[in-house]
Amino acid sequence: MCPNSCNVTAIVETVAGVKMVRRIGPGAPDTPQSQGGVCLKAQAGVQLLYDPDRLKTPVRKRTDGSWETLEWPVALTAAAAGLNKIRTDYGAIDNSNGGSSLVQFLFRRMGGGGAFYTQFMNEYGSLNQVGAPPICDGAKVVGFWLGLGFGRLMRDQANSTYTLLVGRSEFEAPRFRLAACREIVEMQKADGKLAVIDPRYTYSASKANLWLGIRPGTDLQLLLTLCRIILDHSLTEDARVPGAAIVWETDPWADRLFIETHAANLGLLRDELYKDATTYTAANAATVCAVPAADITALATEFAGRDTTGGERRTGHRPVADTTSGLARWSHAEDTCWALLSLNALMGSIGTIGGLTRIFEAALGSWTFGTPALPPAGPLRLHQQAGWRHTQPDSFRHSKRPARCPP
Amino acid sequence: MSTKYMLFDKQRCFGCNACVVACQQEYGLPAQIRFNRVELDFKGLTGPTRADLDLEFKPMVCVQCTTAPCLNVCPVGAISRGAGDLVLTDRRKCIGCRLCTTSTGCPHGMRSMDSYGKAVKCDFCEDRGETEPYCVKTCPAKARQLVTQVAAPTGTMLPNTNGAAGAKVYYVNIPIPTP
Repeated sequence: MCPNSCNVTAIVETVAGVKMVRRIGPGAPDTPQSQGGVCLKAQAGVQLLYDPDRLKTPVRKRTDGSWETLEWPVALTAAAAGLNKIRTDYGAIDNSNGGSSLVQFLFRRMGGGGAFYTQFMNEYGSLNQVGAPPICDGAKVVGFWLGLGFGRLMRDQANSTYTLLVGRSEFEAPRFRLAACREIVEMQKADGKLAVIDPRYTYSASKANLWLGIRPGTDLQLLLTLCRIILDHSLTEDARVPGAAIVWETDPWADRLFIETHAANLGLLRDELYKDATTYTAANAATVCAVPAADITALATEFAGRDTTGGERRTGHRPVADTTSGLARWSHAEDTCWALLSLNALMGSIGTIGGLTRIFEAALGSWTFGTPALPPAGPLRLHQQAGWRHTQPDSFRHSKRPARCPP
Repeated sequence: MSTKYMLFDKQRCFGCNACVVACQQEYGLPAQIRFNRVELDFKGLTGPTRADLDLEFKPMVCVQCTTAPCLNVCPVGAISRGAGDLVLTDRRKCIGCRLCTTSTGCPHGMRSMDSYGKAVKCDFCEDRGETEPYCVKTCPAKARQLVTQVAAPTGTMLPNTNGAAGAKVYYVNIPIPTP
């Protein structure tokens, strides 16, 4: 129902001799996804379960357009025959040397339980598998790939002290982690700051310490302007010298920023920012984005944790900028997401505590459908293997070389 | 005497309504009946620019008034004061006259009629024998707490129905838990 995979409890009771789920309650408080909370949509899952229109048996469409109900063995046999016929007719299966079936699978989910779909398709013989991410935030994944060489990053909200959400309505749609909402409000209680960039005055914007209601579609201008202001005033993590004189391609700074495979992209960023003297100034961005120039400058300095006079970065300042579909569904959003990643890079907020960290994913290993016994579970649950503890301040395992984190 | 107090933290609440649905699921309520709700206090522009928009989330339940009008309007004495100084409704005595659901019976509009024609409202899950109401258990932001104590909490008390002191619901600051 939802990719967040929150931990929930099903309260079961027996009605007329039949066990039924009475309602969905919150799960264990030590799970990183939900931390003992549960949203209204998960609770409404009971309504889906007992909806009179929910399909409980396989159905097949007849030639006249009507539907016939099938028994499971009949349906599975028919589906297997159909898949085999497709493979025989169209799929030259050769997964060796990168070859694959011509059959392409489009399906809902690739992570979590989707691993079983992936395994099934692997065994069927097709590596051509496309899940839902291109629909939701494919551009974000691609943009991050351009900068880092891998795409799946999650922000370490629990340890951030300044969070910038760009086109991301965290409180209305807490994608990926329900617990991030609680962590944001607790960050604000601990004198942290939330900034929101969104054309609409959303619930998230109402909770923000600073909201920039920009003109729709001008995010790239704003993000690059923030980068330029940060460079112009030496506000980067290490207060680099400003301007086009920065040589990222050859000095070790790119490596410090954990830009592993595309270090030259920071050079591209510099070339774009300093192509002329006016495009990425706060005044020009104010005109393009329809927000006050003072607010843009204030956001840049607050995000950097310094003032424009070149003061010291605030102690313990851990800024992070994040987005999701609000950016990723625009045309050419790869550029915008890459600019957002660059903004994080200038702050040293990639692969660090309170910054963007790599997602850990379960691997099925050598398990196949031919050997249905699952591999023995490890002594720890997956999030515990990743180093997460309820009392531990850092919620994810951090590596200074995130591309080399173990799978 | 120990009294039960419901505490809300408006800074934590982000209007997800999980509390509302948790209550509805537990009590089998239809969508239109809500024992608790999250009010949106949209003040609009409070200054010259768009950045001066102001929206606040205000969780709300029956405040368990000390001088409860519902208790006085009930013609059959189905409403009484129970343990923890809470206002409780006895379903067996309720005749479904709806007087307590009028603006006279409850100016806060926190009373409803269920599908059996009985008057219902929030009683902090007292009838379920739970230490924590379901809305408290559910809240993803931990914006709610139920405490039983003698002294009144430190915070802003929600107004009693007659404007006087005596409600059991407070807006407070719920601090970050220490690890």
